[in-house]
Amino acid sequence: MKKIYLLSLAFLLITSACITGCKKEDKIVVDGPIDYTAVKKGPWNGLDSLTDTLFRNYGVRVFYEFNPRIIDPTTFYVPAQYDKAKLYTKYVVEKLWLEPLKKHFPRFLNDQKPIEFLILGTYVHFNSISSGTAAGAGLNAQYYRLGMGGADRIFFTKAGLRSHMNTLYHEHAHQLDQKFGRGYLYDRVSQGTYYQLNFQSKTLAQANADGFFTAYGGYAPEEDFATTVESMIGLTRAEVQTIIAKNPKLATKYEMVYKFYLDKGIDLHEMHDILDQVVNTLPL
Amino acid sequence: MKMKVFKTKNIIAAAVTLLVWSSTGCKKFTEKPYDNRINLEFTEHYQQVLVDAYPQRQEMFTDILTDDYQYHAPTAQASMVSYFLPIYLYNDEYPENGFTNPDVAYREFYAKIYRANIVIGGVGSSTRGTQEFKDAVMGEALILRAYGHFMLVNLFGKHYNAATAATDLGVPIVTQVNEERLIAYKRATVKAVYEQIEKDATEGIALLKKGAAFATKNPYHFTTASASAFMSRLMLYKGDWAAAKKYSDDVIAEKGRVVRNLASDLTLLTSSGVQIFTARYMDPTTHPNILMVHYSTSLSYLAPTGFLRSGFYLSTPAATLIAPAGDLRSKLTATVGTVIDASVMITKYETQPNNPNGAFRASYFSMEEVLLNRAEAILRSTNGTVADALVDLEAIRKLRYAPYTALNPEAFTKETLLTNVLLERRKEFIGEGLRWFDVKRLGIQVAHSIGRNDAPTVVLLPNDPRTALQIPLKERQGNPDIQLNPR
Repeated sequence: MKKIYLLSLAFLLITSACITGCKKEDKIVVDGPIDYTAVKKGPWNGLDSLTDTLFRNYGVRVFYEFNPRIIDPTTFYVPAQYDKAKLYTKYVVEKLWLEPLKKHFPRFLNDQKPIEFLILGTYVHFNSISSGTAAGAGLNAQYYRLGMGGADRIFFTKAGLRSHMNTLYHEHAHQLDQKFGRGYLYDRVSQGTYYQLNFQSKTLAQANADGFFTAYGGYAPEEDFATTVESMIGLTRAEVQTIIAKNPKLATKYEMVYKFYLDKGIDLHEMHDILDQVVNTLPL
Repeated sequence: MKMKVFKTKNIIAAAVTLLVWSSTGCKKFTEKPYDNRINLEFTEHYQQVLVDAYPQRQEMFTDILTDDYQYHAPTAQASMVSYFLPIYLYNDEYPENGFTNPDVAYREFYAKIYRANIVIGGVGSSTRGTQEFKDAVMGEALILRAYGHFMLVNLFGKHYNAATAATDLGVPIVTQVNEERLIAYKRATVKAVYEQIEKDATEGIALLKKGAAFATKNPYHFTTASASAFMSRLMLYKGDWAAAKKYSDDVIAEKGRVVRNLASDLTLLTSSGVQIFTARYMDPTTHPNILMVHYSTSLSYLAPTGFLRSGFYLSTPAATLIAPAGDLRSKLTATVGTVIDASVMITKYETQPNNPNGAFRASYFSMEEVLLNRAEAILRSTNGTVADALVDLEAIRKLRYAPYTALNPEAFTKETLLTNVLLERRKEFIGEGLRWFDVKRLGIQVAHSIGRNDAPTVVLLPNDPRTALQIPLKERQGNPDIQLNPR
């Protein structure tokens, strides 16, 4: 009897020693902090080269790959497709945004450029993964980063890209508003008359008559500011003059915004003309 | 040798001790006030005690229990979320906070009842006051006691239902300042509490009238008009339509049908901006429709709904209700966050939309409420007419809709006009802490979710047990045998 027990015990001890075996712990890979100046390891593709060139020439790093640490965990979007991202980087970021600015308004570029540019495939769904209609055209809560959404949906035609530049300047205007403040005086011009959520039922004509460049501009002062910039980038000087003649409030706000940008080293009317001219040179 | 029994030094010691004992004035010393507090002697002392007897509108947090408000996480300040989200979800347990919640409300109303009781117990024997003066003070105190109990029973008890009021749990009735050991207060029935309230308020109004020469006339205190407005609300909640109409008529007789001229107020919004607008909105000196107003020195009861990061904003249905441009009340909102947040908050209080540190005023009673009480009471009573109710409704509508067109009396029955009246009531008092009591008495179902398009996390059914807020933890700790609300 005893022997059986001893043998059993020995058997159990041996088998348990073999089975449990100290497994080597897998090291958890923890990415280090993002190094904006890092050189990508592994083979580069065309977009990597372009991104690198842009970084060296302009100081702006373009991101298009999905990396949840770059955005915060409560912001949802679908990353851009490679082809679209490449086209976007080439034409929008380089040709239409950075190049003209450096050539014509270098001080503005130097002082106001965001050092990160994010290309997002869909529009940005903040705080909710459900794809409702409420989504942002851009991601612009930080001074150092500008993100533009909807890259997969852009029409890569002259007209499509030219129109997209209006949106880009709109989103960048939000950043400058955050950074410098549009000013108390700006908000006082139309105080008490903003449409708030009723803006969706207003026409462009009504908005102009009420003192807003667009109906969306009538939502709240921050959009009022950004849509003024958007309008000045999207319309000719003459067209802008026609609009501001419809309501003295428009003229006041226009002067404020024009000066705001002029002080920072850029003439928005001139930029409008430059963009028209540059987009015509694109092989699209 | 014979011992000297009485040694000299012993005699001297005894004599000195005796002398000292007889001359120390212990009693006089302990009778003097030791921290400069006033001994309540004169009638005017008791009147002054009442200055601090006006409760904060600590029932205003109930707005987040209603269908007027929804939670929007992205723009919510984290500390506010932890305080108020449990309440929004109808939990009986919630973290302590210094602003507002059922516990703060319970303590606030009983604290003011205590002050009222000090006056009720003492003013009768006060000196340096005529009988009229004493009547005025006593009247005000009685109404305050009634108001405190009214708030408490409506927060912590089911809504008054004549069929069940005699058995429904109300709140402890406190009519005396306790000078003995700790009392384990028992909850009176809803019916008993209402009876006490009516008794106190009726007597209070009568005394205010008798002491009219001495009654405080400023809008920060109860007057006969605001006390009648209070009774009009009470009778409406009780279902005594005739009495509700009668008290409304009393207020109208005194003040006339003065309704806030919102268009005129709104000119301030465009000329001077929202901060000046809100500072003036609840100013009783320029708004005779405000019958009584509270002045708060801190954010307190505005915390859950009162500023851009409070976390609770107008629900989509409520925002849609007041959104039409033809309704002047659409201008009483401020956008929260970006267009993607699609949220608005109400801006009626000074410091809004985003200075949660200052003082502000909030009205207790307004002529608009009196008129809407009257219209509803008329439509619910058998001998009321559509025409009579329209008098009140149109008085309000005239100054709320631009362009304004009168309703056609032929187009309405009492039932359909009542729907209209209740809708106006909801729109008029958004963000003023009245909706919850309508949710209770009208049996409105409320669904609350955490995210905009999410399924409701919790649904409050009509006549839900949770419409009676649970007795707060602190009360249960100090009074372990107090009956709890059934869950």
